[in-house]
Amino acid sequence: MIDRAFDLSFRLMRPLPAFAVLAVFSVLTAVLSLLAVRWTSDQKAIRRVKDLMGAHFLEVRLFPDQLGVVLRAYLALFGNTLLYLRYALVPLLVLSVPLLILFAQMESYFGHAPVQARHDFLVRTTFQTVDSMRDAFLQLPPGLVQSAPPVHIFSEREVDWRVRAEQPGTYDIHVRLQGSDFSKRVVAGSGLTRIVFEREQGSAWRQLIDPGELPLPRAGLVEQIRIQYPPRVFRFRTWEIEWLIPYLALTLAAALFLKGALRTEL
Amino acid sequence: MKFAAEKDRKPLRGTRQILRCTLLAVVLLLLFTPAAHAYVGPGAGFAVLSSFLTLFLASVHAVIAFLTWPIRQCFRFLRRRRAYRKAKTKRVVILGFDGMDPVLTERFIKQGKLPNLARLRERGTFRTLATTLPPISPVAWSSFLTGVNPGKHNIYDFLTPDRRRYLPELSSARIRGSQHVLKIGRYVIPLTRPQIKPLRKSIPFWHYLAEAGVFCSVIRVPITFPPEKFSGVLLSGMCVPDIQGTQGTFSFHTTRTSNRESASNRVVVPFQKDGEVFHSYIPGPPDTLRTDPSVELRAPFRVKPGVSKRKANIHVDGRSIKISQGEYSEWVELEFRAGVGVSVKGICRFYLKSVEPELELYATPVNIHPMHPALPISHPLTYSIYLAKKQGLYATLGLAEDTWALNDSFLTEDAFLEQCYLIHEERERMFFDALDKTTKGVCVCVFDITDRVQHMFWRHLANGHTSGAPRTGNEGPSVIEELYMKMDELIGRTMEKVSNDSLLLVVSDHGFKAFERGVNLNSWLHQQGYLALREGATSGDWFQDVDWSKTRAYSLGLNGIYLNMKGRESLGTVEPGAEAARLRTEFCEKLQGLIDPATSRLAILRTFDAMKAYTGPYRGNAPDVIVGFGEGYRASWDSAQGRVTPAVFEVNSKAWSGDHCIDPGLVPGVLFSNWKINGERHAITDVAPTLLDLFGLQIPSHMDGRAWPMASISST
Repeated sequence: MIDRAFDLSFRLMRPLPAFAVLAVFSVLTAVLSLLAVRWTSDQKAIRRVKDLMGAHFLEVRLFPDQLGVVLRAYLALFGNTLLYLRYALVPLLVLSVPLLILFAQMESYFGHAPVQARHDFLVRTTFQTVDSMRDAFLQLPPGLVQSAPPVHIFSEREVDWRVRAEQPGTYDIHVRLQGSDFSKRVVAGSGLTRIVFEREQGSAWRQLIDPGELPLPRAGLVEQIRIQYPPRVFRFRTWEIEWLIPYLALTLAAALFLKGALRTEL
Repeated sequence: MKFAAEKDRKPLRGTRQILRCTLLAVVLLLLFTPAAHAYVGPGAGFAVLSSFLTLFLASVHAVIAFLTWPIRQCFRFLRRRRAYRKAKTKRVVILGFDGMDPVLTERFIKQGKLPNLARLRERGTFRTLATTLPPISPVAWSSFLTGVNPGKHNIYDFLTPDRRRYLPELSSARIRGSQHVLKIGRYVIPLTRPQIKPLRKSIPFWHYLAEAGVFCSVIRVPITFPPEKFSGVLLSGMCVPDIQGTQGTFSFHTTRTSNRESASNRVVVPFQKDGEVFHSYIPGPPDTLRTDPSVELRAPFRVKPGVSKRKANIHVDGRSIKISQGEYSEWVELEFRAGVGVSVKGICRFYLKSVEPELELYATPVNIHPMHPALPISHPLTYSIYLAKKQGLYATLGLAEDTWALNDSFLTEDAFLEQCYLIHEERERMFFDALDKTTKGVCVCVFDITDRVQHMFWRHLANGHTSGAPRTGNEGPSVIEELYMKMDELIGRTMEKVSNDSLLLVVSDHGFKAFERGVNLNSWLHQQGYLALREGATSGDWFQDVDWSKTRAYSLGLNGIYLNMKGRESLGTVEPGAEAARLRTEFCEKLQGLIDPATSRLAILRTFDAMKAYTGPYRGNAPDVIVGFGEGYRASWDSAQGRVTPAVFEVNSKAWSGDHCIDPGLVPGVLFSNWKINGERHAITDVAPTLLDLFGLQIPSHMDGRAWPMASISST
């Protein structure tokens, strides 16, 4: 359901450039966080403790020659900082789960770019046992072709296939062995779309932090299937950065800008 | 004290339980999950960043402070060696009580109600303290802080006449808008800052002390606005304007009227009903971005009466304030927006007078916001911010206690008294904070409550007072007695913090007497042929309809008569020199000993020729004749506002029933000390030179006061 909601919202923003979508999510994150902080924290106490911290700072500036006053101000400043952290703890805990989900969803969209059409990429599969990897073969749908024989790395229990997408699209590849079938989605082309970098064995928790595809069965012969997607980067002239940094900066800026309007004390 | 404080948001029991369970689940989830790197939003980001930043900056500051402290101390030690080497004490604490009366104080001491003052009297000193001519707070406190007579500090009253327009202006400071503006259609963009010019002359004692390296904390001493730079901290007191630039204009919001009504100290604003909600606004300052000066900024708000009809919710600027009938709100922050990004911030308290049958809401004058001051109210500028952060918002208006609201029956006595004590509590917190910070040096704080409460409650005290003002509260005759007892408690708490080798002074600027009958000096001048009216026998406020071409003298303010002097007043008729001197003498002779025919009592005890009473370069700005009223008398309300009425004498029927603007000999102040102060006569002008002498500084020759011979208890 979460995946579907995110897919829908990303689909709605498809006409926008990736950075604009990131900006929208930053603002939404800021609003969500501000509201959560506002409703789950003792705003009055936070304001009071922040005021006190400011007062003690000013105390040091206003009475610099009174050593006793300055020392007491520093002690009070330290105590109030701890108190401030205590007040920030509740919203921090409350926010941690929804933001973790959001973060994982954002990572699945902004973490990697699709593989380019007519370019080779690797499908790396890790198996449970060395024996099982011998029988494994890769079944590709029309549009994908294997461009080289598989490479078996027995020490890693890994088989790598070199594959090429003939044209942009979303494909399901299948690793088959001993009558079992393990699929993995591959996205080729360009644009902002959900990219699941790896599919591995795990629980519901795994799906929470790696959304988009169901985890591989726990007792299965395949432990992990990874697609060698290129990382998505944002370019500012010659500077290339991953999504997290502008997201963080934009979220903080938006929170600062909106905290007055949303009457939230941070 | 009862507050209708913004109630803390208390979630319901069920909600709280859900919140707890959620928190527990979150904690467990976090404990039993594999490590994941995630950014958890701006809340956490801010918490971590700001905590880190705070600790980091504090640490850096601490290290620098520690490393440089010995150097700075050496430097300062060398600089102030002179002061402390000859100093008789390292610390002086001055508690100023505006209007504390020696007669009442003595009476209450004898009744055993003021144990701390009694202790000071026994072990140290109790004397009367001669006040100034005239005995008005701005005059007396200016002499207190400068050590000079009014002829040298230039303050003679709250108001002084603008000689060109015959209109009053504030005597202590002149605030002018930006001198250079850019006009674009209906809008103006100020290119320079507004000008605030102090009109009080001479130098306060703390400037001399600070120059010598003695630290001074100065809290709410009158006539310290605008604050002047010196090496210490100062919060301005009396004469700090409100956000409108007046000395206090409250607003009253009611459903009784549908029209806005304005008077000199108030604005009555009607409520506009919209379903169950009532809309109104707090009038703010003029919009300085408009060419039309009549356009004012406003802070809209709405009131929704509660179901019980004794409570209401006030919604202002996105905040909701719950308030009960007969209670004050906490300080409410208001923002007056002039344009995008341009706003003026102020604070006020609401008082819900009634919900039914009419909704009536009082709002205090909008005080300058101490954290975002529109005008400077402290030195350094950060001091007012520091105090607000440390103790919360506080009244910054010079005359913060709204005597006008009680005088004109917009507030009950109980409500007024509650307001006074709320302000007093703030002042006490400021004082004790300053006292803690001033381990060496001078700490001086003036408390105004004594003046305001005595003004308004004297009729409770005096037997047979003629004031016909209704008693609108439950307060009995003990209001003033309780006030003195509370001040005594404050003195006691201060004494606990002041050792015997430190000097504690308790001073007041003047005493108090009843104000039963008013004398209209303008009417007297009119009847005597010195003041002429254009038509009819009366005039409006501020000399409306006065024929200046035939007028030789006029009275403005509380004690002064001004000659309509050629070359000084724009329409002057009196030649300076011999004619002026003759007129002054004539007034003095005619007015001195003036008897009230209705009571056969002495209405005017003495009169003073300013040229003889004052010395100094600003003597020419003084009223030409100063009137010393007899006990029970004062300038009438109409006289003070430049209005001519048919009768010279009138009954004072207002709640404002005690006063001190009379003959200075009748209303001396008090002087208490924990040290023995010798000498015969002690005057308020002596305080400044005494302090300089105590710290071993030479007393400037222009000071009129003299240092008191004194000795600490330990040395005696």
